[in-house]
Amino acid sequence: MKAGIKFQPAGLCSSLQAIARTSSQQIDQKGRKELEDAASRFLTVASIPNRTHFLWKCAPFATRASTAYKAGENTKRVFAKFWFDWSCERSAQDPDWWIVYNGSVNVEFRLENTPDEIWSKYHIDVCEGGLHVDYDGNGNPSEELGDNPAEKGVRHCFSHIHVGKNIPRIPILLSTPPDVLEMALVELWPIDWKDTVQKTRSSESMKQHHMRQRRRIFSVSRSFNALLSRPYPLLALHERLPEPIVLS
Amino acid sequence: MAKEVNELMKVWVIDDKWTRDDAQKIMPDDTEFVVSNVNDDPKIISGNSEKAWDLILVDQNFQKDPELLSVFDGSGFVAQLHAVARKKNLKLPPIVIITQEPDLFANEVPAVGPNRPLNGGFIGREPQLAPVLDVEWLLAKPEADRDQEEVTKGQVYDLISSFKAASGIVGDNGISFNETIEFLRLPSGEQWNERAISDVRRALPPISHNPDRPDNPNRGPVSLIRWLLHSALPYPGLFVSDFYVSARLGIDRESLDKIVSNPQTEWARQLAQAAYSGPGQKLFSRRWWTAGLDLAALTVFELDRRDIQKSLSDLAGCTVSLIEVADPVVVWNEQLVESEIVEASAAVPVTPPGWPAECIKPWMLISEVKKHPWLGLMVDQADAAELGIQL
Repeated sequence: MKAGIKFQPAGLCSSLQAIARTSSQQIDQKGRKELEDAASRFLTVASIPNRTHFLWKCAPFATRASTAYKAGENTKRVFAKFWFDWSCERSAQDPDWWIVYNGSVNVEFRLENTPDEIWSKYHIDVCEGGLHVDYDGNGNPSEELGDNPAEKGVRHCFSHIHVGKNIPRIPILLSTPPDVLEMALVELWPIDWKDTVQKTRSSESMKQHHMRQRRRIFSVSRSFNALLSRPYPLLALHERLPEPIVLS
Repeated sequence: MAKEVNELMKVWVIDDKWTRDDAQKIMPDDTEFVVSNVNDDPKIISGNSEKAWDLILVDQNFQKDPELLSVFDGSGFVAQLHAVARKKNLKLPPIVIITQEPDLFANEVPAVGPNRPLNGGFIGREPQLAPVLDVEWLLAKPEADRDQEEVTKGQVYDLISSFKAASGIVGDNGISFNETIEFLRLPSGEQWNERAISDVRRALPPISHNPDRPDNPNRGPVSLIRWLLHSALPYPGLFVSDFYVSARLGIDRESLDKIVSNPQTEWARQLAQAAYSGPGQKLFSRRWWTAGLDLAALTVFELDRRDIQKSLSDLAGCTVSLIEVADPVVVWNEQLVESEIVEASAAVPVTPPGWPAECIKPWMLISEVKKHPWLGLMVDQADAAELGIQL
């Protein structure tokens, strides 16, 4: 069984749709359509019983530009570019549940007057932990591991953030596309986002999204409890997960 | 009690001029019909309303004086019929206004869209107008033209057989969810069935099933027809039109016809199965089960995109032509009729008043919504500000 993060697509897709329907001040019509389409694709896949693997992805799109991320005059206008790709496998035991075992959610901040340059970025990886393994489209390792696995790739934490380069890898509680996207929106519009959520017509569905988000963050944080009994807690973060983290 | 579907179809025609021969031209075979002249028979309603009709066709223009206290046109007659049905607890069949003058309702404000009159004929906008007149549908009387008569005859047949099917399935104890699925003739054995069933649930069918006692007879099985014709089939959600299929698959409509008319691959066969062939289909351009389209589009999404034309042709089993639009969306025109496929950046989603909340929101050309304040008002405020749409 693959490790990683176990989830029900309906919850994540509803969250993504809720953000798409709330964020017209932050995301233009094309970006909102990308989010809706991505959610709809996973729901379609999930409804087909014999589909066991799915590369869930959303094409890159840009948010609107903001100056609200920092106080003061002459603040540069910044937008975020967002995309994700998650390799997922249907749980054999619970067919309504899926496990993401590889993939990332990406946010790049760019200045509006130099849109081709990355100003800052973060890349949130989900993996099984342990040795880095690349998978093909059917969920099989694309390369056989040799006798000495230490020579292959690097060790990964299960859910971590890369800031800019491959290191540092910092463990993180947020991992899913809707939560990472919302974090980017909160970064760009720390005050306005709350107003937006409260004032839009879809505020009810955002309440449900935040309820699910609370549970998701709590589920990931609970998985760190295992480190309490480990002699080398930081090294333990790099071990392969014994079982998936369940986003209940 | 459930009706037998194979018995004669019974139609009541109310007109001021039409003779039996006129009505005969649009009557399907196996139809038993009565033509009542509104001017000849003062007891027209009491003599006929309690009969077990499958369809009531009402002419609109009775050529009477509107100032007199009497029913002077078809929509007035319909109101009277509903009043009698309420009083006597009658179960009415679909009521259809049929007229030679589709412009008669030009000043009527449609049930969906901005608060602006129809400003023209109702053809193509029947689902927007029918709820306002409290009828199930509207038809234009065919000119003296065999082809047009055949089209109208097909539509009359569709209305009658839809009601007979609904009555047969539903019975008289309200409408259940399973009866709705049966009525829609969802193809069985397709991978997208489960998704389609959940789409039907989301489309809010008029469920009223009560196993213990009969339903309100005034709006019995006809509620199902009304939901189908006024909400489920016209607006994208449970079903979509060729425009949406073409935009989602990225192929032009001629290629779509080619693929499904003679399916060469399993993918093409599955797509062809997603074409809707249930009640009401003759009243609209071709409709598709969205769940079936979603599945077909998913396969396209996962294709090797380096030579997408070849990949798509291989998938379809024939040479297909791509639509020349990147990031395509379907746009609706000022009258809320689907008009073309354009690039998403040239269009904006709108929320028309009365648009079913469970349906996919329509998009309009930005250039179009900039022309009229009543269209601009339907655009999200943040989008409007960003796109320079003045209100």
